[in-house]
Amino acid sequence: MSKHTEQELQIQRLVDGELTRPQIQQLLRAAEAEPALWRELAVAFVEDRILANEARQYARDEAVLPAGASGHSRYDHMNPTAEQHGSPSAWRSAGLWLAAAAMLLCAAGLGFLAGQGGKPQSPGELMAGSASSGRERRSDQNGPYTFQLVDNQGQPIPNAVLPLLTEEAAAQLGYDPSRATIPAALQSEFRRAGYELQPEIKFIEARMNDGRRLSLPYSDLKIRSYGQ
Amino acid sequence: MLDTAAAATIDWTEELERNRPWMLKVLRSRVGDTHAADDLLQEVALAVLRQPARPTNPGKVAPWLYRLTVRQAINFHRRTKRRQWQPLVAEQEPAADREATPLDWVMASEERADVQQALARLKPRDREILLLKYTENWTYEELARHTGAKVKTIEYRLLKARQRLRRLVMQNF
Repeated sequence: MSKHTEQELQIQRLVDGELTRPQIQQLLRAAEAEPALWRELAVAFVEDRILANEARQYARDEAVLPAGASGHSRYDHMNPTAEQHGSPSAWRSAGLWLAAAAMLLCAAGLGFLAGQGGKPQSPGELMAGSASSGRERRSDQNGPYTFQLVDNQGQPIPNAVLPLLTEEAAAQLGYDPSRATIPAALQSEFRRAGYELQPEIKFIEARMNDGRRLSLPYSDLKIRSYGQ
Repeated sequence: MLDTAAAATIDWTEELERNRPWMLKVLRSRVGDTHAADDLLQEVALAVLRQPARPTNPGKVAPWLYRLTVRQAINFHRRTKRRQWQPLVAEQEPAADREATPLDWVMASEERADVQQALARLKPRDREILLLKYTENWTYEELARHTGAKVKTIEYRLLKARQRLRRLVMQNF
């Protein structure tokens, strides 16, 4: 490493608060013997101040989210449930219900999430048209464990205590893991209406009644128009 | 050390929540898209849970999460076949004959937008370490602990990142 680079590293360490007291004294003594070094030190501190401000501003401008503040997708404004209830968290909660329904009860569609009305040919209307709720089919089954769905802030979702079922028990309820949550025909209808479907796996947490936690992958589907 | 049986002693949900802010910054720095980064964080969480062997030493958790996070960012670029933000510009040599000095860029950075643009155009690894340094306020030791690199490497990476940032600001000057 060249002497120049080593000096740059020393200045950087000083600015970053990484030097010990003896090391600082040594650097300052060197600056006394070499006035140009004083200038470099001063500029380095100004540079650091500017960079610190700008880096923090950059992170804020780019909306790097704080812990627990996630969940708002750029697709939310196209999400019928979020639009109708005026709250992104409504969609999130609905998504968790959807997850539970898809995994455990095989709800045949998303219809129960979509309200009435909306713009013609909106995703909500398309889904509502194929509604088939499976919610009512869950309450008569109790496995040895139940679990509580929680939202992204770890708060329990009201009335979201569900039984943990074995595959066999779920099958008796009509759960078919190979079956798409949104039927292929409906997906085609979405695409014809100008929407792009983007399926992906997401992850939710559920707390079991014995205190253990389950980490549940679920299928999520983003819907956006081709123009966006 | 990896040990599947003992891995249960670490509460991974808590670990993910605790490490979430800096992991998000790493993803944001590497993929250049806030929303994609948020989605990728979900994939990191899934990847953590799918791993058959997880670290049992709490001191190894952060660098392990860092590697998984970076891997997810790389996979994202492979999937989308997208290049990172203007890397060709970032990799260019400075137009000036001599290296941009701190004074040069301090004078040039009067225009705040120039610094912001330069940060956006930096190579993802450079942007990542500067953002972690200044927004998490980590020491070299903490940066090393989280990224699994040596302190010397961190020092050098910071030095190079700052030098490249100066060059980019000077290009706009």
